[in-house]
Amino acid sequence: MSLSLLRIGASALIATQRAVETAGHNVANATTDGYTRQRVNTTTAPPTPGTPGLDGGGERGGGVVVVSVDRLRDGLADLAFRAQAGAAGSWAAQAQVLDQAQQVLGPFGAGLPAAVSEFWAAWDQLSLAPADIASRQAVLDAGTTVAQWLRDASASLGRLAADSASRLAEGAVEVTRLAAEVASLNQDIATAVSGGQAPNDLLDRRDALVDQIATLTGATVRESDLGMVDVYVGGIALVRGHRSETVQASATALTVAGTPLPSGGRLGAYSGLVTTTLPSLAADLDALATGLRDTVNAAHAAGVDLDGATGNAFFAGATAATISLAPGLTPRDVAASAGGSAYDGNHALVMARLRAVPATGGQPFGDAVNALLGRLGGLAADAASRAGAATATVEHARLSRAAANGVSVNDEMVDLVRFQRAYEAAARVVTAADEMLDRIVNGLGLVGR
Amino acid sequence: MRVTDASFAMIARRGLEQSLGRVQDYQARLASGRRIDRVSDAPGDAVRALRLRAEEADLAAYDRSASDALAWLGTADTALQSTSQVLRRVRDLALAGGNGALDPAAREALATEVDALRDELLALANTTYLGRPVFGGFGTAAVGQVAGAWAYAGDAGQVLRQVSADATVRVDVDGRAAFGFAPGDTNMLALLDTIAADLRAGATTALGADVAALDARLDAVGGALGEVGVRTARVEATRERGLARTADARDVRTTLEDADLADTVLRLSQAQAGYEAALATAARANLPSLAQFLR
Repeated sequence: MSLSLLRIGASALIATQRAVETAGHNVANATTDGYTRQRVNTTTAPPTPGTPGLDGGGERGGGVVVVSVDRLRDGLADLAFRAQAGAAGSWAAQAQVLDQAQQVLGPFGAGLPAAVSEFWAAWDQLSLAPADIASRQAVLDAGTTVAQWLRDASASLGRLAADSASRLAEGAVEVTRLAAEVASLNQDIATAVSGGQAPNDLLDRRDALVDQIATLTGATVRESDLGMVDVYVGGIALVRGHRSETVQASATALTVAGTPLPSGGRLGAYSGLVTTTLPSLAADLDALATGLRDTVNAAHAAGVDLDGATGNAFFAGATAATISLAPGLTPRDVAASAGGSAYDGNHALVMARLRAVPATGGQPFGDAVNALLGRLGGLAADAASRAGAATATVEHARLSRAAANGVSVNDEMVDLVRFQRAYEAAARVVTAADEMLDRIVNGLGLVGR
Repeated sequence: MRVTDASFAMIARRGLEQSLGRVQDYQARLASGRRIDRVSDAPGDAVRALRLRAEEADLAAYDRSASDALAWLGTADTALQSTSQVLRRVRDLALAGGNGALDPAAREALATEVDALRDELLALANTTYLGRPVFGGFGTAAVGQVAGAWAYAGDAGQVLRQVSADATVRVDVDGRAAFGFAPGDTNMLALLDTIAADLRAGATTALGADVAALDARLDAVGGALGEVGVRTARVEATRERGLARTADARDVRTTLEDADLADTVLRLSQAQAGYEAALATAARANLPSLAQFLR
């Protein structure tokens, strides 16, 4: 009887001790990033049958037993966070690159649009003094500036694409590393779980790594057996149990064993930029350059230069990256004359009137440049606002997660007090059992002694 | 929802970040004076502003051309007025010489004046603006001597100026029509030579015919003056419209591009007040926990 009381008291001491330890562990990790609070899960110990007629029959309580130390993780909050993290990462990357892309044509109010206006104005100015070499040189200079802006814009877009591609490559290495770590943690966790342990701290570490993978690739997580998780991007597995895949980067996308991953997360954004957005912008820029070159050259060839020659080309180069003044073009070669006289500036007027002639996509060159700027600005503004919205959502999800999983010092203090009192009470029970046993052991059978 | 230390700290940090971000935005706008720093700040307004900038640049170019055009036309006008005056003087001299009662010395004096006036007409016909002959098209001079006879030394070119997007104006004057160098006409210089000779010879009948020819020359010059007047008025009107349009465009553009100072200052002080409130709250949020009350 007392022995079982002793055993009951001992079980209480062990359980409350474990509970106090857990509360202490929680308090110690209150500021640890990614830590999930733990709580002791106890239940009544298996009862033993009583003896009817002697100690009342029924079941005799056996004390308390610690079933497990639970990790109070809110799985839904995790799901919500990871779903948003991929989108937020993607939009943030796009907003950053597109913001740089809209600057390639120069600062607002200066840059290519201003250079284009100057070019037409230089022809107007030339019509006032067609034989003046300085005015002719001014036309060449204005044309050079326009070509220079187009070349610089093309080069900048190329650099942005190269940047994005190299970040994609770096990302592939990072994702591979993270996946390998998750796989190894999976292995350790499975070993612990099959041994009946609850590897709470390993689970926390793995969750942090999976968060990073989700932000980078928009990956989703599927629970597997023995506490392991499988990480998928679209339908392609990055981690399956204790095996992880190597992620590589092609020029335009992440691949696993040659199959491209569906676009998602930060790296998906870089992939989309390199594959679609940036090439499309570069193509628009090329169309601008060829439109300008063709319109100007066609008109210029019809005019007469200072030496009486006709058919001079003004611009040369096939793309925005290569457009320039025609090689060897001198001030004397500028075709300002309509009728051939050196003092005839009427063809310069024709050249200036090109400001209203359709050059690219049915629009005059200046309007086409503004349209491209509008498109760039619209893309950047859209990405920025979506990034803002996505970041706000992610922050909210992060907050919910911190609220669900985090440590509240007040909670732990209450638990601490509670279990401390319970420990004291359990100690009293042990003392009572001890005294009773003492009576039995040392006092029984010594009648009258 | 539970409140944990982590969530508490997160909210405080995020609040501070957001309000400081707002302060930074308005400060940047105030410092630059611009509402649109890049196209993405307001894509629709930015594209309109760019279009207006292009229009302003074009209008400035047209204005320079219009200025130049007015200078040309003014020069032509002055020269033609002077030519008209000279021709009228010659007419008076010819009429005076037609009076048969003059003696040779008097007629010689008249003829000498006509010679001098002919030289003046030559100079007027060759009036230049910035080195270019106003009456000679694209040539180097308007009138000269070829094999001892007065001839038109210019060409058939027209000097044009673009004074607005769709208006081109001729700013020179055709010397052949104005000064009588068209085929079948007697040019005014040859006419003056004839008058001088007739005056010296006392050929009163011939002088009568000369006066009629002078009248024809005066009409031609008057016609040219009229044309110049019309063109000048047209350029001036176009220029006025251009300047008005430039002012309008600039007004609309600055409304689109520039920050409303009063509004921005107000928003900046609001944002600053918000930031200070967030700071005060974060400081006061150092609430005691249960641990401080337990023994």
